[in-house]
Amino acid sequence: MGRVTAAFTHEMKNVLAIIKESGGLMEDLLLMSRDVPFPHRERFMRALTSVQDQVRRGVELSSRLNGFAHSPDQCEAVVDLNDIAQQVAGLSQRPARLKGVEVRVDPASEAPQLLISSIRLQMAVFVAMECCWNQMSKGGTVRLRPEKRPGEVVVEIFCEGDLGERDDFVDRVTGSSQWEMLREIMTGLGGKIEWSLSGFSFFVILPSRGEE
Amino acid sequence: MGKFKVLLVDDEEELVKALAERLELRGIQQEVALNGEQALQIVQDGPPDIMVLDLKMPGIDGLEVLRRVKRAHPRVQVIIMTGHGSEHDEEIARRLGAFDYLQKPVDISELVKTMNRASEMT
Repeated sequence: MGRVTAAFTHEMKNVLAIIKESGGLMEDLLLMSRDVPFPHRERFMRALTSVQDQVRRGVELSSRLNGFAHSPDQCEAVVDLNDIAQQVAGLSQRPARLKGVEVRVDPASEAPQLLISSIRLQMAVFVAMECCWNQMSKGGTVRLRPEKRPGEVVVEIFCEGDLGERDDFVDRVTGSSQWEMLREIMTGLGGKIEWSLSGFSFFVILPSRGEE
Repeated sequence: MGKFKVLLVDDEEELVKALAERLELRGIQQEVALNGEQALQIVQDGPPDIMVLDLKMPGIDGLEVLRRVKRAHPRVQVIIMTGHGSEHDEEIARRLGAFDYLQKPVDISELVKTMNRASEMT
């Protein structure tokens, strides 16, 4: 999957580069002919500015996906949980926004590291967030909080907003198909999921292996 | 702006032609190659001062072009400009003698500044 995505992002960057250069060429020509009367000059420049802004946006999106694409597909590597959280949060912006939810990362002061398949871990974190935002009203926030504990590393999925009664929220989340998917992924990773004793959060817990 | 000759190498014809036009507007002499084989032929016939080179191309890829150019014409300064962008590729490119490694899409003013710096090494 990583190789397929890498090829896609490479193509996207070429497309964006063509748009950028062609738009840039139009800007150059407009600037060169500034002494020639042209009633729509300002509108053209505004439109070209918009083109360049969207190219920048496209580049950022492509870069986020590229970071994901260059994660090793199957093999395990020592990963930094703060980096993983940032990466997944970046990739999740669009689907979260469609649900009216914001994603934030509260990085750990001491970066937790473990030996794991980066892509599978990212899938776990993404599905964990999906479990939440599918059950949240618009205007809420899902926060990712990586944490190092003795013998294990943890990502807390912390939900904020208008969530209703806690027991009802827990029932809705754990009754979802995404929760079942998350359980399968975590079992495959040798980890587990635990709800907090109170509040609207649960923990994705993995045994720490191969920390540096 | 210093006087130097640039060879742009990329299989994306629209990109490389738009870039060539923008460089021409800035008084920079340039030539275009759409693949590695063409680039190597042009270098053999008359080496440029600077090459702006994509990495992923059909046929001979950019790293192989870089390797051959630096071996035969070490004074040609090669600026990699790629949408592929792994740290691993950058490391290899720099080890093979690339002057700089830029990610597409590149800002034209940044590219021209890089070319000016590279021209001081030719």
